[in-house]
Amino acid sequence: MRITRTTAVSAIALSGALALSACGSDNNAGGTGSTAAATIAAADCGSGTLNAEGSTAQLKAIQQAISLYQAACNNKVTINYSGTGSGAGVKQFTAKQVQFGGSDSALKTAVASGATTTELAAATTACGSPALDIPLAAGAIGAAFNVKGVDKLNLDSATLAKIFKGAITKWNDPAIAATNSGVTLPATDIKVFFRSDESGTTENLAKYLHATAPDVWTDAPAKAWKGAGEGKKGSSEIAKSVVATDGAIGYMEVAFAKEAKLNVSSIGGLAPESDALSKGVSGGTVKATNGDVRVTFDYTKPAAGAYPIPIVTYELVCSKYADAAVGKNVKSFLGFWAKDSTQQAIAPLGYVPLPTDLKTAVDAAVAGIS
Amino acid sequence: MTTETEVAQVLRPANHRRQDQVFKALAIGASSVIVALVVLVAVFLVTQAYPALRQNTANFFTSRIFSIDTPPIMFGIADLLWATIVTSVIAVVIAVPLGVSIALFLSHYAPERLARPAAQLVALLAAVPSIIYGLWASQLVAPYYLPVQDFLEKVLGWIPLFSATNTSGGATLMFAGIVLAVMILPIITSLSREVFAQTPTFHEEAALALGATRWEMIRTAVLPFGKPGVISAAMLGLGRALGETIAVTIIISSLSDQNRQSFSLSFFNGGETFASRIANNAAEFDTPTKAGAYISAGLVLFVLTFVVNAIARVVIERRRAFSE
Repeated sequence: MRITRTTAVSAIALSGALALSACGSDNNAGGTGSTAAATIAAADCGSGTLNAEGSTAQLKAIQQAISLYQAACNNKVTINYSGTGSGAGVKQFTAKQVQFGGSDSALKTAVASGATTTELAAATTACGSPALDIPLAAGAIGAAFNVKGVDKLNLDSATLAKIFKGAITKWNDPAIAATNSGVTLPATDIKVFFRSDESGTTENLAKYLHATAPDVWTDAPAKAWKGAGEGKKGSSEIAKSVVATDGAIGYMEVAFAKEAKLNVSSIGGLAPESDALSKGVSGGTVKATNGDVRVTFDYTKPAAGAYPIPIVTYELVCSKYADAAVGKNVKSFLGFWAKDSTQQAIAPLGYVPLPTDLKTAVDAAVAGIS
Repeated sequence: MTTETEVAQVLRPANHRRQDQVFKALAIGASSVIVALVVLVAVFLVTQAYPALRQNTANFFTSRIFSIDTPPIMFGIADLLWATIVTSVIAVVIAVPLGVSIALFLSHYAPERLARPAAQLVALLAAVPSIIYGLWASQLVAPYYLPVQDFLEKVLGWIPLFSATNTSGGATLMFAGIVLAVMILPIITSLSREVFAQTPTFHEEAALALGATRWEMIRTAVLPFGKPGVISAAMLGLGRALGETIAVTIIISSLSDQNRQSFSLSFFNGGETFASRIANNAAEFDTPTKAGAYISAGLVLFVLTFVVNAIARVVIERRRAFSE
């Protein structure tokens, strides 16, 4: 009897704690950078509630966009976004559990093993109208590190690949010293942290390493990690572990490193900051077909002065919603998010405003939603 | 007067019988819901796991590979089973002696006014949500645990179980086991205490009358009487430790494929238990095959926990037969 009672109590306490922690993760949504006060005509505001979930890489950006949007619309609209991962974003969107999804990679057009249709076809069936990918947050993947006495680091892609593969094991390895003259590197062991969950961030980093250092990173890019090290669930757990471990290095969307106040390594002499970052994102090739906007990066040919590992994360939406009110809400929110003023307000968190050619394509795509 | 008539009305035979039937139906309904739930869960697990198991090209029980992204689909549970069992067994090995000592203190040493609040404090441990244990352990306790691990590595490092690995800090199987021990302590303590308190007084008095000291009395009367109870308490604790998810997911580092190439026996390695592996990847069940692979791992955990709990029940039943 006693046991059942205490388990019941702990179950209640646990669900309470989960609810509390869910509240806690929304922290900085309202705070920074909102002074620019992005505005929207009252007539363009929707009403009611929108639910969305998916990619954590865009979490900080969308939280900020939501709080600005709700403020601009006098809270007539409530938008909920939970950062459950890109895979969940695709799945829940296709299962019609959320009105739009967030994902680091556009809906796949090839059939995955074990599946009967492509992600795009499945989402289109769920929508009853073509499903669209709309990129709204652009940023970069950074290698955040914690090495006692070192606050600036510069690596090239081959060295980075070797570190992540476990081929270089000490911070004072000659390969690292070669690109860091003037920095005293300790003989600490390198501790690599990777995402233990399948992750769009992992896949994008692997794409970069495979493209630029194919002889070191021989594995085909995948959502599962193929390198060395120890795994932690989610970007914020990686950030926490890097903070707590001397000699640690881990990869994450730059916004997470910024929030954890971690130093991020430069790649080829370029830090993922303002100018290099936007140049990196501008280097992408935009391909828009009937409102479906996809960005691809050729990592082997980065533009001069561009940070080499940019990423773009997408919103997954229906081109025509069965419920016109939902369509209006989605269109209104995404349109607001795409605005220059909103993009500028989000940038300080570790993102880049959409480059012009991309913005043009996104605006056209959003205008077509109904 | 009115009360008497009311009582008489309540006890009127027709009424009486109807109430009895209603209550019986409710009770039967409630208990069949439970049975149906368990059966449905089992059916769900089996039907979801079966297609993936059919496609599996590796040996499900002995393979250490978990590659389900691209064909050929290969997955095995050897590593998960190892990590799950190691952490749970460490937890039980630590928690049982500790829990039994606390229980003996509460039932036979502590004065009544101390025993009551102390027992409630232990029960309160069970009310701490496991995510709190996970955060508390990984953020706060890990730095204090590190010297212990370093010491063990230095002194016992020649035994493969205690050899050093490159997993950082407190993210090891050993540390997870220690935290699990704290989490299952309340179950073990409160169950053992209840059994010890039931020791027939004449057993104890007989031992004391024969000149036994208090410790000898406990050894000869209380412990033998309580042994089956302690065993079943340990089993229930083990059952909880096997399935614990969030705390373990937060604490242990998973290993990369590269680090897993050579199998390490060390308790100071990272790894993934059944539950933490599923929790780590729950967001990415994007194809039926992928989901099926994880669900078949879940099925093994389900069976394992079921068996452990069943053993505990059997032991409890036997003991009841004994003492009556």
